[in-house]
Amino acid sequence: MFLPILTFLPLAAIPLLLLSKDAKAQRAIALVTTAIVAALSIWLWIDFDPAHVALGTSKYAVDSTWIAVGQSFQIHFAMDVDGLSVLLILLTGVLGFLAAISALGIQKNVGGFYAMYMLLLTGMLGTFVAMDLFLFYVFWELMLLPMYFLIGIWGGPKREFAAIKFFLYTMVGSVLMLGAFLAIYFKLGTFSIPAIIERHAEIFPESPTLRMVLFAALFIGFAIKVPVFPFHTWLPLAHVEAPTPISVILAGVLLKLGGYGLMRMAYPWFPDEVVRAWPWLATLAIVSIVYGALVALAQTDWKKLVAYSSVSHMGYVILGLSALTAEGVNGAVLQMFSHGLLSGMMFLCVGVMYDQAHHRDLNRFGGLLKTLPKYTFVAMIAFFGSLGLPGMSGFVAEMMVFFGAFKSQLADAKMFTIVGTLGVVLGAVYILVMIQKVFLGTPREKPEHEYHDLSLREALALVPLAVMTLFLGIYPRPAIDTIEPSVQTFVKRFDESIRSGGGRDVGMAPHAPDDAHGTEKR
Amino acid sequence: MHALLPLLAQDGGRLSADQLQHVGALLPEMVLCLAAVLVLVVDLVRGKGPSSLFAWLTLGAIVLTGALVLTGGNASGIGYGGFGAADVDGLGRLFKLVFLGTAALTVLFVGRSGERYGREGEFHVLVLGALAGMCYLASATELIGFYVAFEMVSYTGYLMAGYRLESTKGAEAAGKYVIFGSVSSAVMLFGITLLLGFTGSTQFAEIARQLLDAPADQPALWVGAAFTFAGFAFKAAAFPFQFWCPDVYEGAPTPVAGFLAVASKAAAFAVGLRVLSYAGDVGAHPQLAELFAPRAAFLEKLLIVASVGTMTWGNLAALRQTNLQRMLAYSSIAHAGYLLMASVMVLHGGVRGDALTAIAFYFLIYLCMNLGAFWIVTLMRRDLGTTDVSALSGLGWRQPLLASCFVVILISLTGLPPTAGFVGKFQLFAPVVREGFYVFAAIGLVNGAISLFYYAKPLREMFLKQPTDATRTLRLAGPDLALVVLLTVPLLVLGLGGWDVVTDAARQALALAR
Repeated sequence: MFLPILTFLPLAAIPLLLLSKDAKAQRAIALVTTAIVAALSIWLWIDFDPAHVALGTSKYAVDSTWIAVGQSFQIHFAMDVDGLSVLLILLTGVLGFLAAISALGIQKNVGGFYAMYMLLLTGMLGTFVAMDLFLFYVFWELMLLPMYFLIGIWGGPKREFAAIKFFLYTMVGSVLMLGAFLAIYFKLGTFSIPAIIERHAEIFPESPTLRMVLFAALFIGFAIKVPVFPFHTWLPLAHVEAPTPISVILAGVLLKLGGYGLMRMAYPWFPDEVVRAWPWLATLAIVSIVYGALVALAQTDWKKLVAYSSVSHMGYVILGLSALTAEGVNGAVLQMFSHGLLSGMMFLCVGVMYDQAHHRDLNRFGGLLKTLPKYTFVAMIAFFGSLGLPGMSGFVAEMMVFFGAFKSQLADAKMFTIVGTLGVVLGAVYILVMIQKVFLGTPREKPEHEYHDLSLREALALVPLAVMTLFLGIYPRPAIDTIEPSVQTFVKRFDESIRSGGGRDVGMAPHAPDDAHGTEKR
Repeated sequence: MHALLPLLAQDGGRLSADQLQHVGALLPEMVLCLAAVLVLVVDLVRGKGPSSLFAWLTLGAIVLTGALVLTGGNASGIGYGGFGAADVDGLGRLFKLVFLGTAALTVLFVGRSGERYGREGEFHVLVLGALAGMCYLASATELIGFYVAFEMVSYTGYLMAGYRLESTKGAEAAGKYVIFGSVSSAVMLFGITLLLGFTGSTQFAEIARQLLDAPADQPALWVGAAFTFAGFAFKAAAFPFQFWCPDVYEGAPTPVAGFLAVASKAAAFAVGLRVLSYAGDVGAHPQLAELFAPRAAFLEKLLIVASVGTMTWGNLAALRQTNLQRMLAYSSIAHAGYLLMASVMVLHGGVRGDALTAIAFYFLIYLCMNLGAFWIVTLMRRDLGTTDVSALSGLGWRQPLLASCFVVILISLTGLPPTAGFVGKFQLFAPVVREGFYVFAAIGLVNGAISLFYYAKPLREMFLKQPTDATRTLRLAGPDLALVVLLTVPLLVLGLGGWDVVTDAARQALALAR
């Protein structure tokens, strides 16, 4: 019952939040709830045995019939975790707590804000633990409405447009997903994610085209969330207009849901298709990396720069994941975790200045190093980490992605990797230019009020993230140990597909792991 | 032929006690007709002045009818001398409950809408008359009885649509409805004549059989079928016969628009599904399946075009609307498209049970969410004097409970979890995907995403805009809010779980347990 409690704990806080009329009490309730969630997620990470990789069988597994409609639908309330989800739940728990601290500064309708925030938290946690597609979809869509309100009510000047654009983009992606889920359900007769992974060869073995279409539908559904070029256009707007704590959650956790979905569903269900689509996937990844970096370079709005850097950094995740080597996938997952920490920090840093200066124009800051030394120190960790400076988590993750992609046996992997490294150079350029403009030199305009250095609230949110990113940069073992066995299992599923070049040589129907099911369909 | 069609199991011209008992199966319709007459007489005797007496009489009649529908048994081949004119079966009875529920809520809405409906009694006579027609439609298995009932629903609809007496839009609405309605009725009648002439039968089952069996050189039969179909399509506001709908729904009193959007539409579907079931029956017969396949495929294509056109047109046209009542009119067209999508699957034997259950379930949900929305618009018209979406600006902060309920209703109309609207759509799409119509399903799903854009407009006004001094609130009395909550709660409850129970109940009522 651990996972359901963890998932629904934030939901339970909503009535309390709405009943208490006092903003102080509401803040206290939110902090206590998110702190418990963070503690539980850390405990899960410590307690979980990473060597256990079979989904649906761990000691945390929950599985009971939820809805049964005759023979038409068998829907289970099934939850479980493996190393991948444990790490992402840890990220969600920690960021959820830290963003809630940073949200203490919010004055407008505190109860409503935190109620929506809690709903969002339940949606995110549920998505990471759901093992039934229907349940997964419910949690997935549960995040949309609170996010719409969080951006739309508490956001910046263009919040209304940003909110509806986010809502529409994500919903188009998710209806594509739903269609693919239904098609797979009626072929296999189950909504269980682990069962579909095991029986993936039975998904329309007779029609490679249909398989590719289903893979494409799932890929696009998740790629919108990641976001991969050209599905990224909702992101800069949403990130920029969202209030700081929500930007942190958006970049830190929501984008990871896309990567998680690809790794949990789209890729293992369609291994042959992944191998065949590799040139396209790699191209999209490279374009995201380079394009994101180039557009970031052109920004004068500080928050937009950080937003586009997300497009670039999530490109590495797709590259590492699609390379299908243990190093690459480990790197991709680590990059997800690291990006969660770093983008969270960057948005918090931008938020600190925006709260005081009420603008985010890079060309109007300058010389913060001298006036705000403590703030500059923390911000440097965030931005240099994002740049990929050795000794910080971003470096480890990016290196692993590139090693893994370079080693990959897939076609032209070396060429793609080399082009991809261009992103590192460009990343250094936009970060360094930004640092030069904001922190070095002399102040370019005199602020209305003197800027104050980090307040206690800001420091409380930022310092744990800084410690984690430094720790992971120097000693990434704890994170890698958690995911390694799951990643190995993930990669092994593609061995056959890579050998056969995506099933092209062995005919239409790839070899099924469980022949009893495979033969009857053929 | 009789052996082929078990639903037409009537032998010889026996007029017996058995037959009379069958006529008793139409008691609900009779009660409604008698109640209409009673209300009319009371209205004449009682004299002038509005009174809630008529509403209570009407509600009483509806409740009594509902009890009769629930407790009454099934009967087939109701008629005279072996001439089966109506069947009372699970499908019809489920639809009758939808009509009755809609009518009951409409009567309640009308009573609290603050508008005058001429002499109060006459409006209720129309509601009861429409109901009687609809209930018979859901049972009719034969063209003549069907046509009489169909016109009964139409005429009462024309009159009800014109009750916004103070506004020219009301007159325009009623006028448009009458003109388009009578043209489509005429076309339909012409189609019926052709069908009757070529098949020599007025029985749906026999016509369906002959249609699917017709030689290629007899296009007149298909012309007749197409003309008759146009009549259904008009009532269901299906593409390409949907153009009257927005104007009529906008000009009609809001509760009436809700009644037309739910009950009238459901009535058209009730007949349509019955006809499709017969066609499916014939097509499913092992010896004849091959012969009928091309005909069924043609029918299927026709319906798919109608479905895709209906939902896409409805959704795209709704995008630009700022008047909530008009927006809901377009949205109801889009929903007819989704329902048509599942109706196509009735032709496929393997998923017919699923499709019929899904449609019945969806109408139950649709009743709650659509009438909930129309009720809130009724309140807007009463208290704010406008149905423009901008009138809701900042309302979410002033009246959070009402606004939250509206959010649930709108999210449900969009089809997002965790609401019943999602579950309903999920079940509508499932048979389509199951039968392998992936493109068709994808179009429907993307349409759902498009609809989000306009359903989000009230959300934006209510919550994303801050309340100002100009923000007006609704003067909600207890019953007003209670009705909103009453219609919202099922949407949340069924969305979270327990919809399997309702679905199974519907399936059992349809006697299609698989």
